[in-house]
Amino acid sequence: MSNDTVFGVNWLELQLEEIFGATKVSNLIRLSGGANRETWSFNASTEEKQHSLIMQIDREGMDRLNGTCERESRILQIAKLNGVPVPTVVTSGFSEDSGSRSFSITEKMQGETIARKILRDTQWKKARENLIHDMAKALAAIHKIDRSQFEGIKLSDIRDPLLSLESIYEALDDPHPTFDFAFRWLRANQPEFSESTFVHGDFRLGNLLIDTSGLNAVLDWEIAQFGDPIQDLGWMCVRAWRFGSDEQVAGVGTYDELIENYSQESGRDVTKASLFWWEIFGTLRWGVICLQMGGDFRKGRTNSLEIAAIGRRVAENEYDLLQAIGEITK
Amino acid sequence: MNNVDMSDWGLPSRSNYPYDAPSAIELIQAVEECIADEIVPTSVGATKWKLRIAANALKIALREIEGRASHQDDLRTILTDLEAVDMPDLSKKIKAGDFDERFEMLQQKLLSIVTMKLEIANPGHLKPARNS
Repeated sequence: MSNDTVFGVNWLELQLEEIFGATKVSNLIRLSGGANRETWSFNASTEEKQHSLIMQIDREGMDRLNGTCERESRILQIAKLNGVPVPTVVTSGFSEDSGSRSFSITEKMQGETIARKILRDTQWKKARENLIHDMAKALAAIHKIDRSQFEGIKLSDIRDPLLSLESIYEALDDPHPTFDFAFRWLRANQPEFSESTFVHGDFRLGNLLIDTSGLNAVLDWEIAQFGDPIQDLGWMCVRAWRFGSDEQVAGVGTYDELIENYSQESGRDVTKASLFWWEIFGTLRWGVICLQMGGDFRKGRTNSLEIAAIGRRVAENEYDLLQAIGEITK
Repeated sequence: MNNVDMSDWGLPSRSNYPYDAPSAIELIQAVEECIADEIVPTSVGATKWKLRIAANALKIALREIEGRASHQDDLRTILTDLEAVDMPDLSKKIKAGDFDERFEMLQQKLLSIVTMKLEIANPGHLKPARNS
């Protein structure tokens, strides 16, 4: 996509004129990362002020993702009102010229999202120390939002997460015996369903903006839904989201630290067994998503090399599933 | 007669007749090295990131071409042990509960299969994570 297509400088200036008055857009740069959407950063100058902004757009040709940027901007506004650290939304909507792809424009906040830098570079040492606490606190705030606040926003309400994931896997019709093995283990060991709250759905490094003192903003709400809150905790323990670090939770801390901090912030009891179950569920979920994304390439819905390559990450999750289940059943 | 010593001019033997060298594997290898060693260091931002993915994809392709035959033999042995015709059949049997009483054995066999997959896709991942 070049800068003079439908989402180029002129188009952005038009969108922002309604909000800021006459606006000059410059420095439009495509940022890397994000397999489901395009992310651009740019400056917007009015007579009074210079704004650093972020624009996100649904990825072209991926119909199942249409509308996610617009929906996310409404979720961001609700999260902000409930004390969750998130960027301020400037505007959002649907592009008239490009089918039903939606977009959002938000303020650009300071910080780093690249997990490997956050986990290794010395400048993030203090952030790493505070991160478990900050993440637990943000999750507790997310899980506390009353569902009535989301009226009018289409969010899935998943009562049987295993069945829901299984239906995606079955629909893909590409058998993976290790996935069947994992589904069987998860079904036999499923903890009792406790409660359904608002959940982020993709809470992990990469989707969190970290500044030098800790968590600055929670990003990427595209799969937010209602479900068991412990899934958000288990998800960040998935090995893929440790990004090569030995630490169990998001590559920065231990299970015990997470459980202690989250219990304190949320008042909710979390057992290690249910955290493990959700970690293994999360590993299977990421595996199925890898299969699905690789499938988008195979079906010609995208020619993106990064998405093609994700197809080969299925095996990493299979390995992690076999290893984790093997360890538990020993 | 030339006055030069030509004793080490002989080219490596090859087996990809009727074609010439470099072979498919050697060509992929050359492209991978060109991307990783020459183009990546001078690139920035999204381009650099995409080139890294490209070079890695070529490495996967190379490992697959070189490892495929032996992995396919090993897979056949494992599937025979599990009394499954192929991977979809194994899936079906697991779903039907055929291995519920032999879960640990199944886990070990699946680990052997997945290890082969990772030796191609990402050998660096082949170490247990710390879960306890």
